[in-house]
Amino acid sequence: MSEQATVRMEGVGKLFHGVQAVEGVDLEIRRGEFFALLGPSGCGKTTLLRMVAGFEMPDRGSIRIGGRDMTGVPANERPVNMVFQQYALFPHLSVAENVAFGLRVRRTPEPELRERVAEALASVQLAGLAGRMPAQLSGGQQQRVALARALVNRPELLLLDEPMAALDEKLREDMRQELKTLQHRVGISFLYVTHDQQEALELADRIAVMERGKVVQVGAPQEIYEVPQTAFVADFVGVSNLIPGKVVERERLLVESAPGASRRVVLALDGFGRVEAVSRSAMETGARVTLCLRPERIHLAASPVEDLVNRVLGMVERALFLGSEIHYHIRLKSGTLVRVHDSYSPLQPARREGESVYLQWRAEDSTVLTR
Amino acid sequence: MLAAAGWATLLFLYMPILVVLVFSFNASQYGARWGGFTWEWYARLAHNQNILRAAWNSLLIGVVSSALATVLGTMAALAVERFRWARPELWEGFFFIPIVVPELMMAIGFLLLFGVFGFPFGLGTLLLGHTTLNLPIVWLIVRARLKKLDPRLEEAALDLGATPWTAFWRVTFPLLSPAIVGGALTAFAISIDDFVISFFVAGPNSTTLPIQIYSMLKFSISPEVNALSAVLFVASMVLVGAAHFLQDRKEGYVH
Amino acid sequence: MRVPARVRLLAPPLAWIGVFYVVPLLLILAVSFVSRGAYGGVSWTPNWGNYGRIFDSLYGAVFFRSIVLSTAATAACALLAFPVSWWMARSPKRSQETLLLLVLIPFWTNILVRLYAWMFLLSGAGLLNSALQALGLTRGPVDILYTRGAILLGLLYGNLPLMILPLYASLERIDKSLLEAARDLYASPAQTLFRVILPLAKPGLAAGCILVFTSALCDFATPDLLGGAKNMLVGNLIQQQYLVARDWPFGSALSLTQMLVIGGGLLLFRRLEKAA
Repeated sequence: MSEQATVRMEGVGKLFHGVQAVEGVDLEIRRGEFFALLGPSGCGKTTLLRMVAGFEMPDRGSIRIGGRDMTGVPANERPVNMVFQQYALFPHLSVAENVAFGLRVRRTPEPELRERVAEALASVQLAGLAGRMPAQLSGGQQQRVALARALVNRPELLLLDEPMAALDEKLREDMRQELKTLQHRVGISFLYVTHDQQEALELADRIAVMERGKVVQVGAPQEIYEVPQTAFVADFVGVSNLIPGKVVERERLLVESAPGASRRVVLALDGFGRVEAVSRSAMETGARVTLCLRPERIHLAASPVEDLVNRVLGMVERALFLGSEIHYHIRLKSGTLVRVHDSYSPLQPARREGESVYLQWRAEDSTVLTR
Repeated sequence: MLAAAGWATLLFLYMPILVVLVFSFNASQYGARWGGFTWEWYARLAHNQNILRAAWNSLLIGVVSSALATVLGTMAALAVERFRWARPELWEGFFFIPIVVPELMMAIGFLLLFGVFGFPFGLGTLLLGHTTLNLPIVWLIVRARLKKLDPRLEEAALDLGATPWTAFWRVTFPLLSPAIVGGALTAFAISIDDFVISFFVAGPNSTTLPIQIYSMLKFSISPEVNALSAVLFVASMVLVGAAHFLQDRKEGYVH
Repeated sequence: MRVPARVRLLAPPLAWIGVFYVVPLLLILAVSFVSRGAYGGVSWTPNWGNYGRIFDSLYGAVFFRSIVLSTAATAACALLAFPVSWWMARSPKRSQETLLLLVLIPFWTNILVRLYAWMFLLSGAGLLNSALQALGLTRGPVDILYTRGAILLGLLYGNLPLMILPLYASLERIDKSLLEAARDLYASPAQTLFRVILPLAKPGLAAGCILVFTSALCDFATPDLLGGAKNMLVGNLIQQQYLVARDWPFGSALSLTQMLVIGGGLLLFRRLEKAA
């Protein structure tokens, strides 16, 4: 197993000015994996990244890179390279000299150095700009230089600290595609820090969601989105309706401890009434839970549909047209507000504000959260 | 109207100096009467041994004290800004005080220090005085630049395998050099210009240009003063212009 | 034991300032409480009388005159600096730099050269008197040089850039859209000035006032050269005690009192600033 791991963190913790910035983090980044650290600002993701890079030292736990313990190893001796936020290109050096920096300080012979720099610049489509100064480049070009400058050293792991934050929306989409392609080509593990859930979902093979210094869930993007384990994750990744309630009935399984087995439960939700759902963990009747119901999983119809077991009546309060989608705010009789996302098609007229509709979904469309 | 007021104020700032500049070419010995054009006073200036010695002293002290102040001030700025301290504001305050407290206090303090401990007044005391005056100024200028420098640049160098020593010389120092040069120039200008400290700590054989002018003004005004004033005015114009040009050209690095 | 790099780096400049700045300051304090030596210098016997002498009417009058003149010079600087600073701040970016340079050049010209220029203009045989006589306004030469008016003019002239620079810096930062917003909300130009520009310029104005007042109160070259012997200010008094009378203890007491006046002025100014 450790042979497959580029990075292994065990019980990593860091205190910053008396605040626990990172606490008890256990993570493993596999060889060739695109791994994202996702969380709101101040959740400790950047601190964790900086500990991997060697700019901060953990107070507790250990970080191993390529099987080697990194405790006490300074940043300049670690087999990792970083793409900094705002890129941190050396403003007094040309593009080529920026890329050559790491090779120069390691005294790489000149012919090899020149060859590798040219190769790195070509791999990010910047071959023609070698002589330019960083200030003369656009944001996207600067990012490519930063990538080339890191990758030319052939690190075991590439660290990326919010690399898209300095780019505008349109460019960000293009760069995401390019980054993914690049990662496939070079086959190096990427550790990517971002607060943008869209970015993490699109790019990463696996995501670790962080909240207040702790990793709250690790998994593939789909898993994180579909089966969030806490209300925080459900809320942070995508949009969800989080409805509190309690368990009123539960189905018995033959083997209670069967891993991953799901069972049917009946919940009494505040403002909704009785709702059927599916749970992956054992729970007692009477336990307080939260139901996570994604807005796009709710079906809107003027009349009940047979095989959608859950059904509640509401009134369209607001309809927001977003091009490919329409977002509705629907008010239930109990006063609870529910968000519903529906795809838009000109063939199918949108619901009008003030209209009464049935909100319907299957038991499998929701997730029961115990925390 | 605003522009008129602005130009009028600038005129107020320049008019006296320009009048002196014009009269430095006046052939007439006395005051306001124009007696035709002459280079005579400049020629006399060039042969006035007292003035030449004073100019040499000023230059010598300016160069040596600004070099010393630049090294020490840069060290102070790097030490306070680039390392972690429990209470950095203590050090900052320490170097700020000499800038905030009037120069007269520093001058008096030197007089007492050298006087009480029997240190002979002369070039040595001038050198110590000017270096002390300039050290915090250089610190302030280099520190401002350091504060603007992205600390991630140095981290990027470390990340790319440079040792802290290499990172400093390859990244921090080149980016800092305009400020260091600017600080050195400013220190040199302040030293050349200084009257207060020099007046208190100069010895009988270590007259600097400002002190020389002072004694000429006090005891024997001659048209040579006009010429000397004109020379100094043009020199400061060139110095300020050069410092500005240098700063302007290198400013591109800072975001 | 290995000394950390940061300590090795900080120690030399720290020691320098300690020995050549902090020690002298403490020396001033110590000397102000001892006696004068027989031939000048210091005799280390305690003496509490140095401060008492300051309250002699002669010295008190010098202090009073200095404070009045410095305050007047500060006010005059502020009034004169405001239009030019505002004009600079509103000029196109490119010319702002040139204008700033134009303000800096006289400032960097040696103070004695600048003072001499005024002596040249104001003296009995100087340009101003010649002009006055040529125009038939006065018959003989008028006393302009060696008056308090001349000192005030010199203090104003010498310190004007000290007011312009910080004032310009804070005016320059005022966003143009704020002025447009004020106009949009029905403010007249005068109302814009008093309700928007001045409050935003206050930090710069305050910094300028402190700089000018301090510099004026410590000046001894200006009163010496433009004021002559009968218009002595604190700066001259201190200089004389050290270099002419060689009464270092009394000079130290004077200069520390001067610092107290400056400190008091600063506190008072802060008060006023907060109240305004």
